[in-house]
Amino acid sequence: MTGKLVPGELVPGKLVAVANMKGGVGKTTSVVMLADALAAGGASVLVIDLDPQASASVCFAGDGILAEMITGGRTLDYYLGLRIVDRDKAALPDFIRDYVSSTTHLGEPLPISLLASGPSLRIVEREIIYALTKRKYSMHAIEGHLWKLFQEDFAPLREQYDYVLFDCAPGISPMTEVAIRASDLVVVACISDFLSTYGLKAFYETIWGVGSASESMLAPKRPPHVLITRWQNTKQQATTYATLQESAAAEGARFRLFKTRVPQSAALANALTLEYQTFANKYRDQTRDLIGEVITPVVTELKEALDGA
Amino acid sequence: MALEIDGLAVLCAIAETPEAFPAIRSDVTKAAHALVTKQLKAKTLDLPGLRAVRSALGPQPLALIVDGLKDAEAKALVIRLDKHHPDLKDGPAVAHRRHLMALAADLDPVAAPAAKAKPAKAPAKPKPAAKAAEPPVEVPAAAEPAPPARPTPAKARAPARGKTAPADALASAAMAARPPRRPRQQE
Repeated sequence: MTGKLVPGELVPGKLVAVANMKGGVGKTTSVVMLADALAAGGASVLVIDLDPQASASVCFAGDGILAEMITGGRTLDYYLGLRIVDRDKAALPDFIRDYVSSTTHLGEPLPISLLASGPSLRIVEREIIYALTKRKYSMHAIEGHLWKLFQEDFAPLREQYDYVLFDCAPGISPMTEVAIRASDLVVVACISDFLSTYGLKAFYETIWGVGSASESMLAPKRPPHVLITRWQNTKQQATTYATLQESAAAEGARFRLFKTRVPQSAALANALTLEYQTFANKYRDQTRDLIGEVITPVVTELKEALDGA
Repeated sequence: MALEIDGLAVLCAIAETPEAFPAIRSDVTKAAHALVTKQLKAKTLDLPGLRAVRSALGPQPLALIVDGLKDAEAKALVIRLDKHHPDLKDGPAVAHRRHLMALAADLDPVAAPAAKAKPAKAPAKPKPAAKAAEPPVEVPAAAEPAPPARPTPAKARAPARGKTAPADALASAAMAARPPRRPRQQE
């Protein structure tokens, strides 16, 4: 796959991190939905799964193929072990599986590629800390090492794909933090309720807050863009949403808010299974047309945010 | 005096002046989907009818609506329109939709019915045994005709991928998989 070609130049792809320190807020659902929609629109998409739970990996590859990738040493954790812990040579593109999705659109498989993760990612991230500490790296030096690796190996993937989507682990592992800081846009999936927005504050302070950037790692390029997920029109959610809207519209706002909200929906939950064959079937059922009502406007807003509109 | 609206005229008016109908913009898409889907699922739809729909809508809108059909609906439609195609009954859903679109575009011909196999000649009647000249040849008893295969009850059919929960909720090949040892991995 190649990046988007325009006459005379190759437009580099965009790096988008979907993140939140809190778990269960719809990060993977958002990644699957965005990857499917961008790919159905004709873009080449790479999904990088940074979560040891491997939810995005299993959603795209299915259990059997993911098992093959793990036993074949074709996952992110294996790559990081080789490159950082063992200081071996390894080419990141060799660990990427192209056309991994079984979803089709207009008779063709969606052009989605996957850098899968596995449960060992948690152990390898720990191994990295141990190995680098043993080599007398300070905490800042470890961050700097990961940042350099990201710039050398991950960032160039934007030349091959129109969009690189990172499904970030909750809790912000070192690798997740690097991806968040280096991405062109951070989409914060967030439920419009008390605990989730409380988690949003903590997340903001960790990544964008005063003193959060360092010599080894820069602050993200843009403020976080909050995408309301699992929306239900209850009094509590409506009140929280109104507060978020007000804060996002205030002068000097620290975050932006997507206008479109992703509803709590059975169709969206089903879209995470491998049951549906076509993009249209995945996101449309008797009760909801998620493509027209949600996905198309979210993708438009995402592109506007990436273009700086 | 008219007793009913002219639906086509009203739809044309909505299409020509969408700014007059801002509140129903998303409903228009849903209605358009529903109307064309109903036409595709009509028992009376034949191949010229499918081609007329494609000609009226254009290839991409038709492909989007065909993508929105359930897998079983797409299969039923393509098998009805191309009864004798040898590969459709067992093919994957993506092949059904592709063939449907190819039929609509008149790119693939409809398969001709397979030539009927001539019934095998009935075995010649055994000649009456020669009078005590040869020992009687033992003719094996004809096998019992197999009972006609019963259609598998719906409940016993193999489930489509992902449709039913696995027997063990914690069963997962991926979560049980272990990566190979790295060449320089320390203990």
